[in-house]
Amino acid sequence: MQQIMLSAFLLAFCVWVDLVPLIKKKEKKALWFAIPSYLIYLILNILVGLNVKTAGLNQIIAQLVKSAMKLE
Amino acid sequence: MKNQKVPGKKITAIIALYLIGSSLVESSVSGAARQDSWFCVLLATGLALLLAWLYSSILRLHPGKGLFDIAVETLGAVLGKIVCAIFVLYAVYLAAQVIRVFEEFVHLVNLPQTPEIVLLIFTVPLVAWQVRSGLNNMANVSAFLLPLQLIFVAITIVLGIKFMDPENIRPILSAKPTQMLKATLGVLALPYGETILCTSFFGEVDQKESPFKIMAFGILIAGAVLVMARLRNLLILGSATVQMYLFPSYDAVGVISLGDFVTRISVLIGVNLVLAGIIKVSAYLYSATLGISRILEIRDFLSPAVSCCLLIAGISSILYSNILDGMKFITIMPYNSVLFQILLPAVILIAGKLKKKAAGGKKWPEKNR
Repeated sequence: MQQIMLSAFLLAFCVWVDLVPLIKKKEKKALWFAIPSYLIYLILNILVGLNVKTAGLNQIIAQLVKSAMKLE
Repeated sequence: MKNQKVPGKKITAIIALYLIGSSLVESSVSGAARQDSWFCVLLATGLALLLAWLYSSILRLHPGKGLFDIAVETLGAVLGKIVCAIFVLYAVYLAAQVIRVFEEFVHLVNLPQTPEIVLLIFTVPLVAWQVRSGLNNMANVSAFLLPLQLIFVAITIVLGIKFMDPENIRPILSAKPTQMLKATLGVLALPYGETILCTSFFGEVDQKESPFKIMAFGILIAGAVLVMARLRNLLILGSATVQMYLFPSYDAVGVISLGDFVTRISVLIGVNLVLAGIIKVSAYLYSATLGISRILEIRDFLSPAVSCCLLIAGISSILYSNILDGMKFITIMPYNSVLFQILLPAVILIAGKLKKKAAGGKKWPEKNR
């Protein structure tokens, strides 16, 4: 829960200093990237905060590289 | 915004700090050569100049342009933007990796009770703000920090002489050639090959300055620091002990004391490494931001910085479950770096040369070379 609260605090700060000005300026292209990024950040932190077990990104990449390069 | 050109010397400072920032984990890739790992770092520094030559060849073909502009210009809008997206993902991934390692470092050695997310609350706004302030600001910060880094490393070496044992690096060059090659290529990929992302800055660098000289000086400064730091660690701790520690630079300097009044100077190394790490993450973020702006054609090209930094922070939290897994993965990183550091730049260079030849083969002024 601590993780979710603190990440929400950081997210709120970034929304205030970055997202709101982008919306006010109607920078549609920047918003196309910003809104999904904010959502990804929020979802990942909720998952980590709730101790949901996920395969680490490094592990997935390592398996891909090992199978592509036939490493042991 | 792009009219204000950044002097080459300051870009050299960014590149040097960007490479020094990896010294925290560098031993993980060069460790295979044990007591000869310092020689592998030296060899990799020499080979890195070849990479700098490759990257500067791309920049020389398109003076005044950065990596992403060049990719779109040479490969066309669709393929060029796909290549840009690949580099953006690479930058985001590396930045997440570095943020996580530095988070773990601060958490393990200084603030073990503090949740890692608290460190992110301070790091994310700092890095994002630095990038939003522009390359010139980042370059000024780097130019200020680089001499401090060099002074601190020199102090730790001078104070550490008393604790060094030359037997720790003997017998010299006794490692197997395959181990030496593996360690050298590992250091070449991490950190030297990552210089490819710095080529995206060159759209804002004075065209009169030679890209090769800028990159080569940065690589040589960083190379000197990495070799000296590696030698210091080996001479103080010995290769077997260096392999046991997660952050050997910090632990080697922790041994140093001068009487009872100068002790625990490893804190300075910690601060040093974190500062270099912040510049490193900022450089990744700046590169990723430029790439995203190029792909989406955003006019205010630094506006995606904050959202990109949040994305990096999010990804950093799902990279691995513990630092030991993370360190194991660092040994795999050189393999996946081949695509980003050699193949794609080579494709861009060849495509650029062919396009130039087809256009009549105009030569650029000699001073740009």
